Amino acid sequence: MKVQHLRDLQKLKTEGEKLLRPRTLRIQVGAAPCAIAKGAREVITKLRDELAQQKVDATIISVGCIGICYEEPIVEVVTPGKPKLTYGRITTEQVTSLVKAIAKGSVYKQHLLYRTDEEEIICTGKTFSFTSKTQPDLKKIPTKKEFKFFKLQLRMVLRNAGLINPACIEEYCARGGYSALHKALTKMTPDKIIEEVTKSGLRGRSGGGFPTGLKWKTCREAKGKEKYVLCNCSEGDPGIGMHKSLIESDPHSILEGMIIGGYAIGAHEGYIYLHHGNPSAKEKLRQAIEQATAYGFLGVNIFNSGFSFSITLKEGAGGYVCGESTALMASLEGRAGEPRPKYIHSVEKGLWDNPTNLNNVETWCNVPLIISRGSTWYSKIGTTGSKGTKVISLSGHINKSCLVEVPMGTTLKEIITTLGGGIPKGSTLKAIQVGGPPAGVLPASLADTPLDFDELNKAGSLLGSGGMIVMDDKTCMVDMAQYFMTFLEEESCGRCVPCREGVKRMREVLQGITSGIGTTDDLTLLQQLSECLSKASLCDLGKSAPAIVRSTLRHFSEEYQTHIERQVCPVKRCPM
Amino acid sequence: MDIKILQEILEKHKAEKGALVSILHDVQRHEGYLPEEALHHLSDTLHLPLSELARVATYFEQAFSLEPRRNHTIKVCQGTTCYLKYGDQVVTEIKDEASKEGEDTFFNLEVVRCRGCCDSAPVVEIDGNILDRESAKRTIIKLKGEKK
Amino acid sequence: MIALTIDDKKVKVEPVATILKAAREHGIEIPTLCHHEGLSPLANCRLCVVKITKNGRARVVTSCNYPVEEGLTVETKTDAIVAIRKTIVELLVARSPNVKVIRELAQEMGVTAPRFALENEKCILCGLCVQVCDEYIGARAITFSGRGTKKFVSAPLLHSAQDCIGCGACVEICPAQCITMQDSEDVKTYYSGRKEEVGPARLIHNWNVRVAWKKCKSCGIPFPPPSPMEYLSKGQPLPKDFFNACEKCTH
Repeated sequence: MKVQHLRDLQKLKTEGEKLLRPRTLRIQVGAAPCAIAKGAREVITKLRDELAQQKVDATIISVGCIGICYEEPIVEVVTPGKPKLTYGRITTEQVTSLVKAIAKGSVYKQHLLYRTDEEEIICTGKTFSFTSKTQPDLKKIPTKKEFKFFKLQLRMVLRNAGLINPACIEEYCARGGYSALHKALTKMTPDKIIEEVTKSGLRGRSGGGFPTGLKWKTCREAKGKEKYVLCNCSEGDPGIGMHKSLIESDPHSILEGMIIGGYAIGAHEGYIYLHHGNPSAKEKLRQAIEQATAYGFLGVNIFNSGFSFSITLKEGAGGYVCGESTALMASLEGRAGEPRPKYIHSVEKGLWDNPTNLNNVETWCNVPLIISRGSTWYSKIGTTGSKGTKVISLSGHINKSCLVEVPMGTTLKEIITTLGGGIPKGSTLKAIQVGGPPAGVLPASLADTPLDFDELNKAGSLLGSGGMIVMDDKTCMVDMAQYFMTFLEEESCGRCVPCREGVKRMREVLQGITSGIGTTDDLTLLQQLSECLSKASLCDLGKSAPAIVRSTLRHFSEEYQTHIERQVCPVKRCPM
Repeated sequence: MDIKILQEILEKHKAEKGALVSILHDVQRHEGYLPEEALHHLSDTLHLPLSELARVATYFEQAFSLEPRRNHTIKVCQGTTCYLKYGDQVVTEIKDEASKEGEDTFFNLEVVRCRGCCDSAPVVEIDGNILDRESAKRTIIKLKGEKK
Repeated sequence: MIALTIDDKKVKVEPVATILKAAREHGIEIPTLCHHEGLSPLANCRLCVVKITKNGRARVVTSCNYPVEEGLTVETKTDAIVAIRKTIVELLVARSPNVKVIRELAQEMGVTAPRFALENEKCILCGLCVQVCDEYIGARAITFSGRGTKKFVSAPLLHSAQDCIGCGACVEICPAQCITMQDSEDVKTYYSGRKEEVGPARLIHNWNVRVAWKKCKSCGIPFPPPSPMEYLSKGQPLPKDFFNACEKCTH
């Protein structure tokens, strides 16, 4: 069935609502990588068996990542007419008791996290109700809004993550999916769309922080018969698998954003570049593209607008450096993923020398929201210079590893204490890395820095990918500098002298320091190498490589001194 | 390599622009590595010089290998969080366990970055399954036992 | 014509020029290593970095591929730029201390002993050999293998470079002079499916290549592949049949 008019979309929406709120029991199990690592697959098998044994009629649906990784495996129970109940830490051992409670129509109290009476559909501003009656026996259980994990959060990019079956387009539509696309194609001109994106203040979410609207405008105005839009789904940052969760939990939101972007820029082809070694993310995206094409959201004459668009999924084969735009495009063109030295922007000459607009997956997921709710609504969220939200993958020496989304302006400390549950007992906060190696590290004293492109720049860091790693007082900062330089050395493409030779030599110098043979001259040498790499490297990998060394030298110079002068590692991490 | 399979792979990517990396992925998945004869055949059919095939195949060393891979693949995560939780020691332990009694020819041991399971850090992925350090060691022992 | 300032000198150049070309045309020297006039810029060595200022914003860019712009201010020898170049040369010396061109650069820049452990690589990974074979000759016979610090140049898959025509452009263009070739009059060459032939051939050792001398189209006598470098240096394409007719018959 091809969706051509709004009423067709409404039909899909209604079907989806029936699936989300069925007449029989629906049990949702989180099945993102973090959940599978904790046995989610085994839980699903056990659930199936138990439900059959106890003769309970229910459908089991795998959903994406709710973000409460420390409570995985998470199981949610939707009983007709009752609030949705969310249970945490349901391993195979708890399944029997859980199913018994479901069969009795009661609650498995020990593992109940929260209840959801109604959910906001942020795309439309409407609510989706599970029950209209107040349940007296459940009054004492916190609602989702009251649950600590969600208090600081504003889930916009993650609007559907963990709430829908990612393989079901109807459920995506039930939560407002593809309505922004309909509005864009039938009620707006490309220029109007670009105007809205510009007014919203959206800035690129992969580190550059470049104003998205301006990028789209430049690409639209560039001369070229063929134009392309690209989605960078290749997270090579050694600190996060975050984007994987986003792709696996809500692939259609990426597609919708790209189609709108294609229409605005005048491109008819889109490419999604996915990091290799991700078979489940690849499968979810492939499925989503197939479904979207079958229903007419991709293909010819979408919504009878005359606009046609197709999306091809391409798997990368390389690592970190292929996140750099020219290296990414080289890989898409079937060549070795090496950055190209050029001073003409990709928006004018990119993929196969055509005007190309590359945005990060998180940026694309913001687009449908901006279109459906409007730039005025969007620009009220966040700070003056950084609008909207940021998805943060929080891990490291933290009590609660999780995947969260907070409005820009939330401080690092708030994220660490309120959402992350703070540092484990017996340790104190020492350093934070906000956005991957290019962001360097910030000392605990700067934990009040808000999530904001400009504020983080001022503090000597940058927002980057949003993979926040927390380091405690038992971390050796010189060792971490060496760790990151080892990583960058492995990932360097080897094309230019400063990066290829310089990163290796910096790693060697740091290795010397952590082995007890460092000298004070080494610190001067590190500074000189940093200056050379940051100015003369061919691409951003080399240019930002010194960030970790510079920031650790700046904020933790006494540690370097102790290693050098006393040949001692203060936290006994180094092999000296 | 069976030429028919190679032709099927080429047919599958017929309409794709810049399909070389995608084609190589399929060959790697099917054969477990990139056989030289396959690269020669691709060079002829795609009208690309062998130097270009060799360039791409050797550049992407994480994804492609020019030599057959062994039975089981162990990937030890060295993402930042896993490293903070002494993931480097895990590499040594796993290496020792996997190479006991000369078994290192049985396993491909790779160091990889972030699998996205930071809550379970440090993690080890064996044949696609994510495990913690103790379960990983137990699995390796089990696989070695099965081999015998 | 585009007007810009290089080292306080006001110059005017053709719009298609790069900063490097503009500087050289006006007698301002900028060191290079991976650059050749007849080929598109590689920008690998980064020695040609300069400081540019435009609309009050200063940046460091490579002059070999940055196009000239109206009103651009270029400084080729600031203290910071010289320091960067010195570091690059120090890194090169540490990798290839016995390569003549690197030692000469080191002497020019005042780089004495590098502060790193010395290696002994003969190849400086400038990429000119691959570039000339790709872009100018069109044989595309050799390639980079691997990546990062383990990168190296070789015949594809380390075998014999089957597409090599033996022109020797790679040998002549290599700044490190690490590619060797030898013309031999009396060499046995085996062709699969045919008998062996004995006759003159050119050997290029680095690529495991043995290319039999071609028989001249006109006189029929075998001759060694002629050097394409003169045409390359002039930026001219090779004439038709350049590799098919011997020198005597061409003139």
